[in-house]
Amino acid sequence: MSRLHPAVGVTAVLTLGFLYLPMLAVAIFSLNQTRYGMSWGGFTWKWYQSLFNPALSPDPKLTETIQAAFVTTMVLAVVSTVIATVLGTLLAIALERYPWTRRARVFLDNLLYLPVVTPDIILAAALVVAFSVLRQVSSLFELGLPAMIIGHVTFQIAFVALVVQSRLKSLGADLDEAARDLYASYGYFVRRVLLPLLAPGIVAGAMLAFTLSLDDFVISFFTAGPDSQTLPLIIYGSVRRGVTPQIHALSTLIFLATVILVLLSERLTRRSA
Amino acid sequence: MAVIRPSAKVQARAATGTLAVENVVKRFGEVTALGGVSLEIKAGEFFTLLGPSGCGKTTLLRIIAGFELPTAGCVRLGGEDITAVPANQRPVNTVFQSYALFPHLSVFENVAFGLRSRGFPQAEVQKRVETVMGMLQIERFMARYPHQLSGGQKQRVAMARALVNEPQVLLLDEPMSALDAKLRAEVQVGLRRLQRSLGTTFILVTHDQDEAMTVSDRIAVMREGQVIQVGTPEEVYARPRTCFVAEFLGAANLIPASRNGSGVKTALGHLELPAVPQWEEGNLAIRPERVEIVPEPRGSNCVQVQVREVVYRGSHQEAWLEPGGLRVRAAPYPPLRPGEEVVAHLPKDALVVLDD
Repeated sequence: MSRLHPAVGVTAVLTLGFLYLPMLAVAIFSLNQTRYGMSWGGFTWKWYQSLFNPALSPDPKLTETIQAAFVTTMVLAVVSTVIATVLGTLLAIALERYPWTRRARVFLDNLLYLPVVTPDIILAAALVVAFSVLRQVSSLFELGLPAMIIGHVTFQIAFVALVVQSRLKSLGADLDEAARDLYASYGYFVRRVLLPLLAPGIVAGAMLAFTLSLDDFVISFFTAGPDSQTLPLIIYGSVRRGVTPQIHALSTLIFLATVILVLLSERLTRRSA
Repeated sequence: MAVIRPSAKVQARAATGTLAVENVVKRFGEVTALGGVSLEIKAGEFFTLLGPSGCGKTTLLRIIAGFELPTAGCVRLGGEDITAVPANQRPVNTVFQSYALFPHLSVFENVAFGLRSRGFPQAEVQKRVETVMGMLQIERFMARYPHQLSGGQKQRVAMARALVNEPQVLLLDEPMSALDAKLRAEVQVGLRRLQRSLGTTFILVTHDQDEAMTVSDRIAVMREGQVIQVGTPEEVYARPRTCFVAEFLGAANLIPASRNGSGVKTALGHLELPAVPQWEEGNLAIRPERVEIVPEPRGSNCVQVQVREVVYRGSHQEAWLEPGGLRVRAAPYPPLRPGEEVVAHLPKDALVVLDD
């Protein structure tokens, strides 16, 4: 094993610090008594408490907005994740198990990967154009929650499909044949073999999709209506008005929720590998 | 499966139908995997498809299993055309090369899979799974999961999972390729004994000629999508029809020859044959163990040769003779010496006239 130069270690530690320092600052200020400015006024949980109870908040209206946005964010994340998980799983199974020619397979794999690397802002702008056309057909595409759900599903599908697809690859196709050889109908095979074995991949994909929806700003910003503010949109708006410690507390909670989801999803993927 | 304890019930149920493959052709795009194969496999027979990789033996097995549709031709079981019957409706089960055990199910549930998928009542499932697990001696592993088993144990579970369905035909796709040599020899004998006691038709795919000879009633030697020769192990070994068969099954001396009166002219001189060849120029084959080293020439087919190289093998010695690079397998005593002049006798009845 080669020895590391001390400078490499130091740089690595500093880099990690650089990555986490902003989040640490927000977390610290969310526990600060002082409402304005950067001075430390003593420790408090009150900003967290005020998120849950408008009566404790110095700005009850903000608390109510945050609570409404929380509901919207959750509805958006849950509904879009469920839809994206079902569609993404079906897509992965079709891509992986249909006897495509080699060239078609490479093409389809790239097609699936493309949305993952497409900049959000491009996708968001494209959605706005697409929705304005589709609005002629259905009011579902009016700016607002339904349009946001469709928007989120659009970028979540590729992530779910990629995670499920890698799980399918590791399973191999001979279990399909073994089940067929043992008199299983396709439905029985899906229930008793495919879904139980894919479950860790599906859950991991769903968690990833949920996290992405929870954190999304760009797509939501372009597709939101007046009554469908999400937490990221509220945070963005309040930064422009001047950040309060309440927002710090909110940001810290969202960050923690994301960390937990990512860790869980990571664990599921690793255990099943 | 060192010892096999077949139950009376399973024993009583012998296979019923002949499996016939008729002019089966399979093409994948421009590649022809099978170029018109016909075989008739009798009920209760242990039949082996033997050939090098890429000869089409696995494709043929997959067509019999129902995983592939032939481009042309048909498969009949007991006279009935089953070519288009889906895999999950054929009275045929497979032991996969990878075993393909379900990793999320216990050994018991793996074995029970084929019964549960058809909705057998719990009592019947319990009884049949226990019987077959007893037969293959895997009761001890009942509650374990596939990743907790050794290669040999997995192989037995795969066998049990197929046999619990009491198939008319059991297909085995190189089921021993993942086992080490010592275990493989043991399993081969066990497999043979099991097949005898069940009376089920077994069709084995392998590229290992020793394995084919050990277990089979009959062997079909395949090459490039064609069946070259079908016969008992004795027939294909002692009476190969082509150079390929002669060389694929064990060691063989191939001697180029041209017709010369009642016999042939070769690099070793004139040789008498048991039959007059159909060709003007062709090949003869003789197994190294059939070549005799004799003290002095007597009668026909004796040739003066020189020992080029000797390898001592313990139970026998192997020598290469000139001219012709003739390979000999002889008793280890008296030892042959390189450079020594000896007389080799190629008995008339040991010489095989090949078609090519």
